[in-house]
Amino acid sequence: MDSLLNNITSSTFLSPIWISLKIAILAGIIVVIIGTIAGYFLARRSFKGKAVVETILMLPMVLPPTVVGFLLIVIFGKNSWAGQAITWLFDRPIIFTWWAAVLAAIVVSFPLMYQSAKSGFLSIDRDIEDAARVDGANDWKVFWLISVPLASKALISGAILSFARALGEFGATLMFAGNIPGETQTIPIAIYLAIDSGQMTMAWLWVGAMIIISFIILLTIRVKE
Amino acid sequence: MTQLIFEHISKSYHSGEPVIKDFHFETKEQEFIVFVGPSGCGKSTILKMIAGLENITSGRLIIDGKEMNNVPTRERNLSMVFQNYALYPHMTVYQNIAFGLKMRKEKKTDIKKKVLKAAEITGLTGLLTRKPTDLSGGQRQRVALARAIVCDNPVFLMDEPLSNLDAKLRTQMRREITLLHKRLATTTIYVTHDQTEAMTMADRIIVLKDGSIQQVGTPHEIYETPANLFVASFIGSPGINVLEGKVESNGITIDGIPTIFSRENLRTTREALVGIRPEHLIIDEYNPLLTATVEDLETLGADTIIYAKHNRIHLTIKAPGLLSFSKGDPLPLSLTGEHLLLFDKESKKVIL
Repeated sequence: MDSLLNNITSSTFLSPIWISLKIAILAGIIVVIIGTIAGYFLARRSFKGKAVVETILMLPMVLPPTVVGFLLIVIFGKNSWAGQAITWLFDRPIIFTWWAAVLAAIVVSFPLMYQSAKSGFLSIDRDIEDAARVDGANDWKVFWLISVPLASKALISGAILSFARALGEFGATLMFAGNIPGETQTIPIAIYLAIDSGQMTMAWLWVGAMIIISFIILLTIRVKE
Repeated sequence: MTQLIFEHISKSYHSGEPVIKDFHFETKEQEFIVFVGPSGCGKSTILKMIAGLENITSGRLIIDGKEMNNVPTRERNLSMVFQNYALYPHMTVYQNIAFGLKMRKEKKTDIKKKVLKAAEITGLTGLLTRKPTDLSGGQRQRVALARAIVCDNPVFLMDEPLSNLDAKLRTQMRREITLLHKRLATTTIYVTHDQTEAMTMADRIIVLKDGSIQQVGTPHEIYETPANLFVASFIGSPGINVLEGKVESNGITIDGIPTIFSRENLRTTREALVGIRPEHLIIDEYNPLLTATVEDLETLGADTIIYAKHNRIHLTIKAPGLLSFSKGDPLPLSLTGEHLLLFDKESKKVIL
């Protein structure tokens, strides 16, 4: 019993949990903002090539995480144009950093938020937005005072699903952010390595932690509904 | 004191056929104008163009002497009542009515005063804390009206506002909107497919079909002197009887039956369509023009609608009072000559 308590309070156990939560929260916040804006824009505007843009935005959801990881390395790697720009700006490359894990989480969870937001905005009666315009609201006020509150259910469930997806991200993170204990080692990566090295107790603990967090997330959605 | 001028306005989507063709019209100040026509005639599109919710492809829209084509909706100073009311479902009745005033950044005390007054006019005083979902259809309609009148805008747009109400409420709201218009003295554009609403509410009616104006006139003019067969058929309930006829120098022949009626200015023999309103066919036992056979009856109470047949032609007759006929009864009919409407067989335009 004492050893279990020691395990639970040890930094070896807690570190991946904090890292995972921090990554998922930050990625979640960013994804909620850009996913909501993208969802609104694509629900309201039509333009040439819209179908192609929508397909590209949804692609990370169906692609294997290793493909996403590969593409992230190609796009943001040390030799790429974007990678060099980042190195120049921040004095270090993004690959194999905590920020790389955040970026990987953003990419894989974005489609869930975008999809929820878009269908939430599409379900709003356009006349209600038009009524607000007639009442003197500008585009920003229509969006903030009418569209967002009316799509709030879809936005909240999108946010929670994206958070959960960011929390569970494994493949792309491992490839793009690596496995650096205390920096990029998330719960899913820690579980994989624990099993690989026969540390079944630690694996169980992390699995338990993951189940509890996921359960709370899904329960929140159910209660909200 | 507001006048709307439509200068040759057209509208088309992408490269398709125009949905509004050369809409040219001027309102008078404080006029109640009704756009009426079947669905797809473009009446709601014109309303949305006035509101700035649809672009104008060509032509100019002028409100109060100012071109509005590129003025955003929020700066047009108009009020609109939508067909499905379009209330803000997440706000209370009070917040719904106050929204426009808030957008204008009016003072809180002024907002409260104005909302309470609008609520009183529309009979919503006791419902201000409710949400739209807790209201009946008629109450929602009143919230939409209150929201429109509270801003005191000079132009009022209404898009089929009564079509979702039951018949009794519709008649009541029709009267209330007419009275409201008199009280507020706004220029009102009212869109409907219901010819009864058009006839009872309008100062002037614009009849539309396929995006083109068919006729502009007072309810009286539209009913008595329709410009073409479409207007004659669309306005009036039950619909006008349209029969094949021939105009000759000694009289007008209807479906082979010569009548004594003639038109002085029509000397040449020509084929025509003859329009007779159901109330202008008179049951006449002494000197009938023709004897038809009763096919069916509709008892309305004050009037009776009789569907009858003569040879190949079907006739609708509206007779005052409660009448009883059985199917197959002979029905002696005559008509009054001054009410005959003649239409050209090709162009369907009225022959004067």
